[in-house]
Amino acid sequence: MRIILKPIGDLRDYFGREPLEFELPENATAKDLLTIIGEGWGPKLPAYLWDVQKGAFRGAVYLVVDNKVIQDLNTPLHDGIEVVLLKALSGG
Amino acid sequence: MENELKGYAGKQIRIDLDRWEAHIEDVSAELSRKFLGGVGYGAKILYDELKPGIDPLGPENLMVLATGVLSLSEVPGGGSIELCFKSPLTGLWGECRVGGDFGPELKKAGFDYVIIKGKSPQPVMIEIRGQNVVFHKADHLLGKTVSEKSAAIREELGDKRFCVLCIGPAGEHLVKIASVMADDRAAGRCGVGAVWGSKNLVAVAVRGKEKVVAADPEDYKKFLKQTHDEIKLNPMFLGLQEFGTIGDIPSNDDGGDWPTKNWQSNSWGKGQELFDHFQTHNFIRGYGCYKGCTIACAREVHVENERRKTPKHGGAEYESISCFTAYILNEDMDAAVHATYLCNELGLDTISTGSAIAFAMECYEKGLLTKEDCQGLDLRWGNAEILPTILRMIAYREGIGNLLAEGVRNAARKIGRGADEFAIHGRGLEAPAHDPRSGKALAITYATSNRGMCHIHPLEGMAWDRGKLDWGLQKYGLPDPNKVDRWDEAGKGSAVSLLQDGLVLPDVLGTCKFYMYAGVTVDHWAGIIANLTGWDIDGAELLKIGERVINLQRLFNGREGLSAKDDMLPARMLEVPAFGKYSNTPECVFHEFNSVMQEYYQTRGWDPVTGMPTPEKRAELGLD
Repeated sequence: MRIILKPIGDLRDYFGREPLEFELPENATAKDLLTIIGEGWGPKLPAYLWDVQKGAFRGAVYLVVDNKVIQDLNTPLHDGIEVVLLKALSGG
Repeated sequence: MENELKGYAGKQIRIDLDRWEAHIEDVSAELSRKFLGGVGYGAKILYDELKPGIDPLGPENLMVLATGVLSLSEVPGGGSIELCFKSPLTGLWGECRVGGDFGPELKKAGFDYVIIKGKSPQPVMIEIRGQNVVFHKADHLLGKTVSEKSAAIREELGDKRFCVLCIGPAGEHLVKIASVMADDRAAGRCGVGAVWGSKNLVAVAVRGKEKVVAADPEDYKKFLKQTHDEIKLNPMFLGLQEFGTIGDIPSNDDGGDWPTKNWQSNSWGKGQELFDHFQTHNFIRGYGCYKGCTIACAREVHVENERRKTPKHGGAEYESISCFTAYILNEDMDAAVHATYLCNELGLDTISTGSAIAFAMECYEKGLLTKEDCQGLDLRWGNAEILPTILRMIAYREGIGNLLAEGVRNAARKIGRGADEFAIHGRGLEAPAHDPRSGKALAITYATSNRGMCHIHPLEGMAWDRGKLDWGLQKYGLPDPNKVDRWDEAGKGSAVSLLQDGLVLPDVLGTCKFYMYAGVTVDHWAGIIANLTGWDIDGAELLKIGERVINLQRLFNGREGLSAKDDMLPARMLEVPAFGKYSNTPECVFHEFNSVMQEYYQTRGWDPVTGMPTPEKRAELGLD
């Protein structure tokens, strides 16, 4: 199935300005998407964004659907879903 | 508590410090509808009742403690109170917000506002217990730290549940960068602590038991729950909850949003290791600063290192830590946490104080200050050893501390010899730890913010063009942030106008702005207010009120001598960073600042030459 990953903000400096499309198996989960991101971009990301040993984002970087963070990485994805990848910035 | 004005406590106290008298009066329903509360109501009071040109440290200055209509614990961000006054640091509109329970407790006591004038003949602590106001001698509290004062006051009043605002030794010594503290939360900026000190006002303590009654209690509760539920999985909500504001340090360092070495650069490269140290060695837990906060971005922290030991305390916010690390090239996080703890105990604004030390370090480097001028202190960059000593010197106005206690603008004027190049401020208010070279909307908001260059009002610009937040304002005309580059210039002036109208609202409504970061919009606020007050009010009217407040504060400043020439940035912010990741990135610097400012004035309906609201704009907003 087709998954669209949309990095926004500062993350576009590392993932490119345009959304990315992936083909994943029918029963893919958010964890599978993270695995693909890690394999494709992890080593190229700065240390403050990506923990190479854990194979996971560091800090407040989230996969977001409909403005809600996917907290449970076993959450199944569906065909055509648009997943926003963002780094939460607060200021103050 | 029932009154004609639903959703408000409905009363205010006028305090005459000269006579130790308190008069209780009704709050005007008409003014409440027009200005809502918070810094809106404060602006109206100050504009109407303060003569232009008065000495901010004289008895004629007013101190308005202003809740907003939403300063209620059950409201998202409702733990809030605004302090409004003429600033001794800038000579202009002064305001600070502080989180915590003081605002909601004042409502429970039956009051929306406390308006304080005059000067007490001796140090005084004001007790507000329900509808009773008592003046207490406070000589015995002088010299105590903030936590000592707060504990002593609760002990004296016989109730630990009193909410206390107080100054530390810095306010007592009329230090122009002194804060007012609510335990470990700070009303930091604009020299508010010096105003309290000038009035011999040591503390205000409040305790109440009443409840504000909503016009439609059932729908009010339903709407609140709906709003709370909607934002629980918002990425900003979760990011703040998990990492606090200090969590921004690594990404801001990388993004060119971390002013470094007194603004010589916008990126240092030490952010990640400093944050890692903090998480491992200093951070204990997150907590909410007021009863009912669901975000809980505050950090309980400590330093266990014997040389810099602190008890567990609340602190280590992004701004405070940045001003004691990147600003002064200090790589010792323990020293930074310790320094911000001392600032809180002494009642010093961490942003202005860190800035003043950075300024002094640059003056020392360039030979404008010598070791002798600094009483033997070695003010080389990164020397954290001096921090405990210099902080006390500033708080007690000793030696070099007496100079720095005046703020960087005044200190630079006194030193002369080109020192003003190193004084990084907006209208006299020391610049916070966000760099307009990371996103140019911030340049416009910094240049036009009514209280000066601060870390609250300007940030909506940065969060829009760099952080890609739309604040729910696209339906009101805000350009889609995903179609805007952070380094674009044209269009930022008009966008900032709307951003300011929308994002002044938390300080008008008496709420924490982080809830707007987390997805609460003007439409949510309108729904809550409508059910609370019974008013027929919507997001568009709230934006109009925001615009009215911005314009009124601008008029206040105009009366004090502000004009378009003051809408500018320090030269250093308009230069390519001297070192770091962006030192070869000329596009990060603003090139057409003047023309974007004209775009801003035009959108605002302000005179392009004077920068002041035109008569037509004043009439439109009901400010004529």
